[in-house]
Amino acid sequence: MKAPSVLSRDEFNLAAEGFVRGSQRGTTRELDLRSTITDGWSWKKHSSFTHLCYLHRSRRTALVPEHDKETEYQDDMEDQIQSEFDASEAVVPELRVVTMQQYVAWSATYQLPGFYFTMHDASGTPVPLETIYRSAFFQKSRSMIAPPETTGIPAIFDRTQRDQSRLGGGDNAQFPVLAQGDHPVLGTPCWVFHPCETSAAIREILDELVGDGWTGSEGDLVRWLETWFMVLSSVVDLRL
Amino acid sequence: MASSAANTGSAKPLLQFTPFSSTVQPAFWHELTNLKIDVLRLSQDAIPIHASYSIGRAVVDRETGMEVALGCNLVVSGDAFKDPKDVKPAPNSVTVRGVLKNFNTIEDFKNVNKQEMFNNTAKEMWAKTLQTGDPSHLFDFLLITFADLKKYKYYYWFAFPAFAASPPWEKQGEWAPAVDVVPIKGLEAIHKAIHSGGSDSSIAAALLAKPSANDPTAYETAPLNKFSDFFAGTPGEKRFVVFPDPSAHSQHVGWPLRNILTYILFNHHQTAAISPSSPLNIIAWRDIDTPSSSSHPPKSLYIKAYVPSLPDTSAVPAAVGWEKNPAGKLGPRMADLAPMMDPKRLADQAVDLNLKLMRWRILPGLDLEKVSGTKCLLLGAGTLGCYVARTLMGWGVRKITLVDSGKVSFSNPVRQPLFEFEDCLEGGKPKAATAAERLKKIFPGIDATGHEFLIPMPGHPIPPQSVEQTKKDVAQLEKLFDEHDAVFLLMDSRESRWLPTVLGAAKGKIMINCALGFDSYLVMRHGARESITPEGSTRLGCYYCNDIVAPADSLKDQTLDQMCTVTRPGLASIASSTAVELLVSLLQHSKGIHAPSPPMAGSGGQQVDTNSEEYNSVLGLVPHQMRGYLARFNTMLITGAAFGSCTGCSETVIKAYESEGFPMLLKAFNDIGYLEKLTGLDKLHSEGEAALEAVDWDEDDDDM
Ligand SMILES: [Zn+2]
Repeated sequence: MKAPSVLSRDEFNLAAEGFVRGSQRGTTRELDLRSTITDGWSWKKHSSFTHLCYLHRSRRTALVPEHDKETEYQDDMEDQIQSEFDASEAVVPELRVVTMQQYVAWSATYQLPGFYFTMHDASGTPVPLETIYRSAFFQKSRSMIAPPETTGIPAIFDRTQRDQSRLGGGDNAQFPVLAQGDHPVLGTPCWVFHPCETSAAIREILDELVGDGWTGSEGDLVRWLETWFMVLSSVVDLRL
Repeated sequence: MASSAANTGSAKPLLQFTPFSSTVQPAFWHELTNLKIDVLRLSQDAIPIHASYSIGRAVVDRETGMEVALGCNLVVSGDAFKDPKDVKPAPNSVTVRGVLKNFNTIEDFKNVNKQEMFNNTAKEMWAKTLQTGDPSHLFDFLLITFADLKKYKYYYWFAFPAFAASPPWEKQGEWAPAVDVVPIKGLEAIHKAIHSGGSDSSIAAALLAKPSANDPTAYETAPLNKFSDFFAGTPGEKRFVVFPDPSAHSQHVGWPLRNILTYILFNHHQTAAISPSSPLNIIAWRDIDTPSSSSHPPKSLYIKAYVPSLPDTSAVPAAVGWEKNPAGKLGPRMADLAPMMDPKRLADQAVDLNLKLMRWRILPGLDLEKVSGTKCLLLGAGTLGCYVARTLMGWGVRKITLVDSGKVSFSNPVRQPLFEFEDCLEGGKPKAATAAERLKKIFPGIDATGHEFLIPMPGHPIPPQSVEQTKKDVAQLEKLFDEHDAVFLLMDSRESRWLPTVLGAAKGKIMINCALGFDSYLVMRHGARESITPEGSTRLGCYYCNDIVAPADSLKDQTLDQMCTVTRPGLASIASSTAVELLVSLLQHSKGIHAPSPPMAGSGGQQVDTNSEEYNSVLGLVPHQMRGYLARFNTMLITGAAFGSCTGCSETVIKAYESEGFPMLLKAFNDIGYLEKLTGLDKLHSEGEAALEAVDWDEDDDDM
């Protein structure tokens, strides 16, 4: 049998659980996925509907300085605490850090795992879309932008460039498209890469890897998900 | 010379610690909101919460290639209110406990005696940990909050109490690789112990290590509170205190070490016997993967630290630790979750995103801000007005003003999508205001208003007692023109378009005109007035110009009932959408109001390339007129030049209005022959009678 281009919910659940177990054990993988891509994922279940599950992890990166924005502070409260000099405190300039909550959840519409994420600053305030695509998570996609005229929008957000890159046959040929949607389990607003374009790429890779040897075992399913991560990591820097 | 000697001699090599910096996940604020609404209500009791920190990470900035340490983070997640025993801790993290105090008002939050709260927290930590010898409360923290639930804003302030040693800890040398003093096999053993040693955590917050008596490359470990037993008989240089370090900075380690050292100093000082000649070996654990010489070279650091003299271990040391805000000051922070939680903000973002995606995916050159920033005045809130307003909203237009003198009648709701049956009761609500309210219901982000007044018309004399009111109405209309960029003529009579046509030409506004027949429609844009038309370009006509010069051949066989109130129901939405799209195409054309209209096929005999850049915006052509025929389901593009004696847009008329003002308008309203005399049209009339009759585009409304 050849590898499928879609996964059922049960298959996704099996694959994801196996994936998390493997990443915790540090199992050697067949696919050369960097451990930073597979690290830190936990398997979460809906509190009442336990078959609704998703992978989650939290990743931080420093913000590109040009997009630092001062937020409001309550200045009138600052003198309440006497600031005594503390010689043992290291003076380290604070970096603007953004946190990306990454989720992999199964989409019933596409019968595929989808990559959902939110991005917020240290206070929990969501950051604007401009900051999202200028963050290091999308540095790779940003570098694919043709420099002149374009509005500075990464190829993932731009169908014309996407099509060009597909024509060019580069390794980023299959670009998912960013959209706003609700997390399929949590129901909270999230950004999501439309999974519709990923399945062809996964199939292509798996056909090369397993050929007709697909059995649908847990190992195969984990490999399927690893391939999915590999495709995703051409858009989002998952090594951060 | 002398100075460098003085430097090394006097500057104390202090051991320095990077303070925790808090990261709050949005889910925490969601949970706090629920808790406040469902459980806490007005209670200001302290609530136990928990947080976690992980081994510090540095990221490589791919632009500069430099490693950037990400700070010493303490993360509070949506699980913070649950019992830590019920929560699966995140991999590689230490769970710490804290106390949350939420205040009901910003004043309470501001005025509470923070120093006292802090001191109480520190005292409790002291009592729980340093007096009992149980180190599990070494990393407790305090969080005070005020949740402004109406604005989705959360004010908060963390404190991470650390007991300050006096005199402070000093170091010998700089932080160096731990592998220099502990063999890789020892590091492996420590890694394993850290990962199996947490109670609520996935890793232990601190542990002790020493080389095994039998095999000095193998290491034995023990929990922190076993310090005295575990190290009894072990010489100082073989005692190692290990802690997972949330800092990734090369020379500063994380905050937790401070209280670990205090604990050792106060609870185990006899065994520890720390002094400059007998320092403590500290390992800042920074390895996430099992260290191995091949695949994961160890990253953990090592140093020797000591206190110059023992502090008075009977007195409680002072504590420090309020978090600074991003401005670097001791003050609270604020989270603004409105973009995530405020339904209005969510709608706003969704509208913008839809449009942005259109731009990003299809038309990178599309200037959306130009469209959404265009202030639109809709004269008429009937079928056309309703559909035009909705389509404008779809384009992200944020300011829409409607003018109509009518009330909603029973025939309206089925054809006019902004009205409902209820609006017709008790004589009907005013159409313009009702339509504006409905727009806000559909999308709260819109700035919509409605004005109820009649637009005076030429040939409809104003009775003397109404002159003052008419003057006011005209002044109101003039003001509205000044406040908007584009005006849509969507009224139900031909004559009522005259005054707006004159005002639009005089004030240089974008004028979009839309009229319906039974199964045909006209959508057109007015040309700019002569005095501002660039030299060499053809000035396009207005609604009234085309009465005369309209291509009669295409229309002769059309019978349009001038009093017509009957149109095919689908016509209005087609015409309205066409009108809005015409505006958007015009806005995207570099010449805007002066954009040339594509020459008509066959006119003048020569072929013109309408694909040329001259005629196209990113959205394509910007025609002057479109006439659509449902009977044939086709649309004709028409370009008509301005007519020099036009009663609506000729310089004669506009200048008369500009120099005389309202009295000139009054003459036009009252005197049927005035405009024709003014423009010399009366002379043309005898010749052009037939032509004038032939054209009439009109009447949108169903309820005349
Ligand atoms: Zn005219």
